[in-house]
Amino acid sequence: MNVSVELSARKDVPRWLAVGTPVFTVLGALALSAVALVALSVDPIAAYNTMFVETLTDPFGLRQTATRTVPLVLTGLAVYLPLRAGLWNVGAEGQLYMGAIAGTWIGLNVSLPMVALIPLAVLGAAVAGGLWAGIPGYLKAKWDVNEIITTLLLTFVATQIASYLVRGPMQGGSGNFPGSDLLPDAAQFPAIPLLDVHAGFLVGLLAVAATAVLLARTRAGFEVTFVGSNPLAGVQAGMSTFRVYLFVFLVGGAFAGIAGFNEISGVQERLIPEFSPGYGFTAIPIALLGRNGAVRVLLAAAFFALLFVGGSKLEVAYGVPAALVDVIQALVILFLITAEFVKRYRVDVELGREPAAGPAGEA
Amino acid sequence: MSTGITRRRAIKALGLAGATGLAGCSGSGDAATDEGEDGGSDGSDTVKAAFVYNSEVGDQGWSWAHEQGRQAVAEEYDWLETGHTEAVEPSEAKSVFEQYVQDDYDVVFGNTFGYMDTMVSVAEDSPDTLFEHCSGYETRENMGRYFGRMYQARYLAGIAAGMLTEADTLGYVAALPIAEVVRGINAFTLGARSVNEDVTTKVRWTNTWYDPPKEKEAATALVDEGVDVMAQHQDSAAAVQAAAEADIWATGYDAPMAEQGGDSYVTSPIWHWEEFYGPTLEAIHDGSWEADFYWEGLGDGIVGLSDWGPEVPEDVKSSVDDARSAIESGDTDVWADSKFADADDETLFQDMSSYVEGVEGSVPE
Repeated sequence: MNVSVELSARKDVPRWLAVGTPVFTVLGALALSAVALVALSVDPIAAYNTMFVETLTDPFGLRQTATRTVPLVLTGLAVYLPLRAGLWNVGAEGQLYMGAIAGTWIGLNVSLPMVALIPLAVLGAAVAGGLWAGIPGYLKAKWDVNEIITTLLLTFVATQIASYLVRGPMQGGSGNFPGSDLLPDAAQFPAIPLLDVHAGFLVGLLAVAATAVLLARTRAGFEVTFVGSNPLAGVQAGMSTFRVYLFVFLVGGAFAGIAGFNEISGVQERLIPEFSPGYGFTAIPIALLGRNGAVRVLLAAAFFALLFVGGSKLEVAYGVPAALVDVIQALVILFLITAEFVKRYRVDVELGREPAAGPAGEA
Repeated sequence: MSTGITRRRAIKALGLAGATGLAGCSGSGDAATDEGEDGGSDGSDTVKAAFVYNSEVGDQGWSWAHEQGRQAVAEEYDWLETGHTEAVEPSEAKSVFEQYVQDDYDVVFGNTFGYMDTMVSVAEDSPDTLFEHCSGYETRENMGRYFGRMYQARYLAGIAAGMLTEADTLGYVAALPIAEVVRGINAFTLGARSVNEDVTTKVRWTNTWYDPPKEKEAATALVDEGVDVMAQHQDSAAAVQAAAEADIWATGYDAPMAEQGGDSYVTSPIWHWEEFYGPTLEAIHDGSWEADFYWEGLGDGIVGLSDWGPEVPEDVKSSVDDARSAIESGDTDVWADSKFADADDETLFQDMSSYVEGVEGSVPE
């Protein structure tokens, strides 16, 4: 027997497939997770109702989802933008920490009224995150050093720096507990009236809009997409891959840096070690799902936020183990990413006899 | 297509309305019985209590011990409804606390120091919910705090360690350099030195409450430095396991760790949180709860020692028993012969930031 699997890129994706895949794959992942829920004698329908429907129908759940979306969309953009240029920024987590450090430091040490202090801290966070991503960006652009490795490893450096600072020079509070002092009120994002979500949410939306405009309407954005789809042709057309590569990392890193400060200022109120539950890593599937546009990155980020918030609600409501919620989230992500692949490629599996054994001329 | 959605929506809306109606009925029914029974207590008779843990309850450690307490009270009181969430990082705590407030819980217990700021701010925003924070130093009108004098049990474990050691060197795998942990190290060392003046304690900091590989690594490093009795202040049994593998004595923490300690297991200073959760929930139930600071010890039963390991000699057991009675009766004060002899409770609880004589090195800044 001979099994041949052939992959061919689809020229155009049928509409039913484009719309149907995410829906069916999410349902598939949930059906698989239901086995575990049933094993714990939890009614899966009621559990999923709590996780998704209830979260999205009460103001509290929506507010939490919106708050969670902020760091996810910003780090999502930090991966998305280099991805448009054909590069992998897997170190958004580290850039987020550098931004959090810089923003918190400014918030604690500069005294200005809120209208000036918050923008300054956001700017500082953007610069820190941008520079941190700029290192791998420069190494890639100048010497073609593999950016996957450099961005990833710099993440560990960044989290350790944050860990050191909150136990050393930036340690505040009392009780010798690792963590900085509380940010003054002037450095904390106020809540948006009516929505009751911190104003960092607006910064996230602005970043999405800016990225969309950048890619669709500007020369720099055009070059990013062009170099991303064919770097050689880009060079032929007189574009500089050096400038494009450095640019996407600087801007992407800046977004991740802002995400870090937003999370500290809007949610945590002080810099603590390991404050991020891996936003910068979750950003990678978000960018993959949203690879066709900045607004889709936003949608993907909101969906992941819903998964987190709903998962936490599920734990609270049914007392299911934390690990099971992780499994459900991971399955949904895994199914979605796999579906992306199936959507983009046509998989043909052929079962047949050994070609040599078959009569010649038959195909 | 659109009609389908509308119909579905309509059905759901009807269903919701029905459910709300029912809930409304049963709610008013409950309220009526309440008034009948206790004549005017406010709200419903059921107390809903939430427990938020920083680590997984299967960890055989800190959260496991709290979960034992929750299960005990949940079993005991038929008017009590409990919920719990495990593995909640301090950075995630806010949304979990808020969720419980949203779900109309009467009281939220949080079991780690790192929740303190968050709990204070959620308590400020939720004046109708009660909060109880374990191991911190902040209270509010609707937020109490609780802990136990674990140092007394540590002292007893130290006596056993001091009698068992031949190298006169004890090892201590410690989480974070905060007062709670330093207090345990000091009490353990004082206990050991009360029976063996030559003892020194070597401390390794992991800077984490729960990270079994890291805890094990620290324990192994201590074994390499020649300690022959291991103690630990972590949320898992990894250090005890490392000690068992190296065939040296070990005392655990939080939970009976006999299984991990094998033949060379000594004992573990352990918690009996139900001794706090029970009376506290009763007070909430009968309306007499007030925010205060609960800090009791061996006498109250909130702390104790687990069963002895299989090979602990009888003289060790009887010495520890004697010391235990002396502490319970007030004849022995753990700190009497140390530099903390004159310290008041507040200093002991919050400001203990240096070692007693006999501990090597100094507390990291």
